[in-house]
Amino acid sequence: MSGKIVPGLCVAFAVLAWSVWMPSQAHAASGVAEPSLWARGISWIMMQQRIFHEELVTALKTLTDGGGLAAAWSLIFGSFLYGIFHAAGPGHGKVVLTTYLLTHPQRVSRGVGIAAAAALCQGLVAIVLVYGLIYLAGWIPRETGSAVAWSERISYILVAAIGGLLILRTARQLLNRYFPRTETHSHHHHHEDSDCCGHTHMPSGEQLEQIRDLRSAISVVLAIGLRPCTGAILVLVLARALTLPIAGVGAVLAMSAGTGIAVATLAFLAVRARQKAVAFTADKSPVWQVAANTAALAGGGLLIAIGISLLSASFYSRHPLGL
Amino acid sequence: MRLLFIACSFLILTPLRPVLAHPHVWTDMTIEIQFNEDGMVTGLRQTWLFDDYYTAYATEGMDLDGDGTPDPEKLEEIMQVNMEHLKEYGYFTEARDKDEVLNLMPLTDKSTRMLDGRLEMSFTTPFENPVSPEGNNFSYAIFDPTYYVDMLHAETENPVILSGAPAGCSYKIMPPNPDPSVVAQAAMLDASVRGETGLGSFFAERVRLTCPEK
Repeated sequence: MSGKIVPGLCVAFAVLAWSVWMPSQAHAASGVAEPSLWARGISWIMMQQRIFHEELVTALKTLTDGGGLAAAWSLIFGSFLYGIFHAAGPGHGKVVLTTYLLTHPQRVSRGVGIAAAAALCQGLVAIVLVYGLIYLAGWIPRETGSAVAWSERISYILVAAIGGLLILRTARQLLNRYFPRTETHSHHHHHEDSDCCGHTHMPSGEQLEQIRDLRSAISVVLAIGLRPCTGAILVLVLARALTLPIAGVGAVLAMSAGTGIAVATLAFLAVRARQKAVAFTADKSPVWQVAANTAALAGGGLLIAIGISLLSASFYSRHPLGL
Repeated sequence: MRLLFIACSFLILTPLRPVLAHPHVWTDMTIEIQFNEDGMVTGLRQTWLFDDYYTAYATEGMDLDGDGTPDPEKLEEIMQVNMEHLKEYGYFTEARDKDEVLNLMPLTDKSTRMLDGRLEMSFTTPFENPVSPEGNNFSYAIFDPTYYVDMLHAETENPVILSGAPAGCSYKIMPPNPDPSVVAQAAMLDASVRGETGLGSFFAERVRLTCPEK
């Protein structure tokens, strides 16, 4: 990875963040009199989102009326932009992803892969749940809400579980550091792995670690992906109402691609940030290690809190209009 | 370089743009402010026209007689269920006499239909006690606290109707003016929380009625 691109990206991100975040802070102090620049900015963004939604409706309707390729492209492109736009907001998925990537060693490609897989999973879950239940099980759209709610609950449980595992993992590291076991674990590095492949009955420490890694990566993908976005569900339902289910699937996949790109950028930054932090603290005082462990514990606690609060909220509040 | 990275790891954890995830459904409202013979405000006659998304979501599979539009009885059922659930939310209606929030009586005149392929629901929310409209005591805001649904006055000539109002009354729709710090705070919560975060109130239009003093 070139050393130039990364800081460049960072500066771009920083500028973007400051330009959006700082005015709000400055404004908070001055009190509210009339629509500020910030408030107008928010209204503008809201307006854009509404226009997006209306454009999708128009594109779908044009397509029904035989609008052809142009309409199809505007639908796909609009959905793609909506996906990027949508992912820019905060959400539990992004908290899970960044916490996981900041606390686990990962290659950049792996981190980006997890992010992309999660976004794709989210789109596929929406398609399978909504169209699967409607076309295969004969449900009506309004009824799919309960199935979606259960899928979401599994996702929330996974969020809390990832948090719990993170805390356990950190606790184990701390125990090992301060109360080292007398029997040193002898790490047999199987250099001739090819020789023994298929004959190992006992998984080696490394293999165990790999399995654990894969498992945690999958749970992160599912924790994010099992919660389909309402926007995607509504597009699917509307597309079906206009007898264009294929267009609905295309639109949702395009949305996932947009979301995937946005989230992958986030993952890239998180992995690089962690790598730099690790390199930076490698041979520094133990204070840094304590700080890193504290951060991991806090992140785990945050995930447990988010998971549990979303889970309990999902039981006592369903939107009054059945959404 | 290192500093940059540390700064970045903080920044990616900062929400860049709050509340982009919501809303998902838009509703155009037409509201009639009702007056009695004494010129007191008695209630609001509300008409909600849902967008294509919600219409499809709510009414798909409701066309049992196959005439191309949802059956009226089925629409009644949807309305019934929605209103039952909305009761807990005070029908999204927050009317005020000065700063005091008005109590609502049970709904009257419920009706529903399809209008140009969109689902429409109408009902009246009567106030427990009629309110004097003198000065600019009376105001209302209608919003979904969870902000799943953006409730805005229709972009028509008369989104607010003053029926039987004393001479000289007028209304003003005040656009939402979200307080950034509160919005940012609300946005720090997960945007998908359906609980009563009250997010919607920051994006609500408020209508103020002004009538001449006697």
